[in-house]
Amino acid sequence: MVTKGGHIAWRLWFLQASWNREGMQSMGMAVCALPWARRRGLRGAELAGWLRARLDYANTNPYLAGLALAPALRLSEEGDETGARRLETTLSRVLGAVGDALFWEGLRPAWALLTLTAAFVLGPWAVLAGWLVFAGAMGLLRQWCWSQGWQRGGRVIELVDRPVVGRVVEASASVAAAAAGLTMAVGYLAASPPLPSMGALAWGAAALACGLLALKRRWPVEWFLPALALAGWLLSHLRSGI
Amino acid sequence: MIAAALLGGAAGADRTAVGQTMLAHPAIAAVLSAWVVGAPREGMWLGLALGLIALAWLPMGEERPRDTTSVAVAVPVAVGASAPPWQWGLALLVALLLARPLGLAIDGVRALALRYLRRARAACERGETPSLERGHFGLAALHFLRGAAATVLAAVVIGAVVTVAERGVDEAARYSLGAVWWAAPLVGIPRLLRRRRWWWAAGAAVGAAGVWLGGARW
Repeated sequence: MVTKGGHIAWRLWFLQASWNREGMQSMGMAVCALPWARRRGLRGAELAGWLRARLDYANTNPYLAGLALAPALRLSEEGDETGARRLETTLSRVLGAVGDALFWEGLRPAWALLTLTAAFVLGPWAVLAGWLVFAGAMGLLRQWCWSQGWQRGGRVIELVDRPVVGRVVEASASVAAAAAGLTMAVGYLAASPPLPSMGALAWGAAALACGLLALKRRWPVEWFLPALALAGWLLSHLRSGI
Repeated sequence: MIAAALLGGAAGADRTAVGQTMLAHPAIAAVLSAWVVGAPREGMWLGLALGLIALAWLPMGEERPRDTTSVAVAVPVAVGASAPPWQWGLALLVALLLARPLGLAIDGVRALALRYLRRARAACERGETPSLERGHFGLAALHFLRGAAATVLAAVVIGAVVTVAERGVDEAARYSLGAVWWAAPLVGIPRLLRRRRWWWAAGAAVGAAGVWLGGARW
C-alpha cells in the first residue's frame, strides 16, 4: 500500500505550498509523509515528536522530491529513523543542486522558448499543447521518482551520481541558449510588431546596451525600458524642433 | 476579467504552490491570456519579452520574487485586442514596474507560512499534533487568491494608465513606446550571451534559415 504511495505522490504536487525562508519545504515534506506516518500507526505525542523532527528544514527540487522522501521513509520503516533523516537531508541537497541547474536554468526556459517558437509558426494552440505536454511529463516524472525512490532505497544515490547526469545538466543549458537564439530569430523575422519607422538599428542597439548595462552594474533591468522610452521621446522632440 | 482572475489565480498558484507545470511562465501565461482576449500575436511578443527578461530573475536563493506571472496575464486583458503597438509598449513598461511590488505579496504569503510553521513546531513541542494539512493546503488556496487579486489589480492599474495616456500622449511618445515594444526582447539578450553564446548563435542561425527557407509566419 505504502509502496504505491498514491497519496504521497499526489501530495508532492503541493510540496511548495507552505514554502518559507526559514524551514523552506519542511512543512510540505511533513505533509507529504503524513499518510505514511498514519499508516504506521503513529498517534498523539508520538506523531507530534515525529513531526517536530521533520519541521526543522528541508529543501530540494520540487520535481525530484520523491527521490529524497521515498528512500527516507523506507529506511524509517526498517527502524532506522536517524539514518533516514540523514539520508533525506543528503539526497535533498544533491537533488536540489542537480534539479535547480537542470530545470530552472535548462529544461524550463528551453521548453518555454521552443513552445513559443512553435506558436510563432503554427499558432497559439502550440503553447497550450506545449504546456499540457510539460505538465503531463512532470506528473509522470514525480510518479517515477517516488516509485524509483521506494524501490531503490538508499541506492537511489547511484541514480544521481552517474556522469551522464552532469552531462544532461550541461546539455540542457546549451539547449536553452540555442532555443533562445532560435526564438529570437523566428520572432524578429516572422512575427515581430511593425518596425520603428526611424532607426530600427539604433533602437535595437540601445536595447542591447541597456541589457548589458543592467547585467554589468546589477541594476534592475525593468528601469531601463522606461528610460529608453523617455530618451526616444526627447530625441523625437529635439529632431522635430531642429 | 473573471477569466483573467481565474487564469491569474491558477498561474499564481502554479508558480508558488502547486505543480510548477510552467503555466506561470510568462511565455505561456501571456499567450494564453492574449488568446482569450483575441490578440494571440501580441501575446506571443509579450511572452517573448517578459520570458527573456525573467530569465535574469530565477526563483533561487534570497532574491525577492517579481511577479511576472500576474502581469503577463494582466497586460492583454488591460490593453485589449485592437490596441496599437504603443499601447502594448506602455503596458509592458507599467507591467515591469509593477512586477516587483506585486512580488511583495508572494513574500507576504510566505511570511504567513513561516508563522504557521513556528506555531506548528511549538505545538509539537507541547506534545500536540498540529493540523498541518489544513494550514498547508490553505496556503495553496491563499496563493491562488493572491494570484487572482494581483492579476486584477495589475489589469486595473495598467488599463487606467493606458486610458489616461490615450488622451494625453503626443505623437513622439507614441512612436517611442511603439519602438520600445519592438525592441523589448533584446534587453534580455546580454544575459544569455554571457555564457554559451555559440549555442545562442547556432539557434539564431537555424531560426533565420528556417524562416528564410520556409517563410514561416502564422
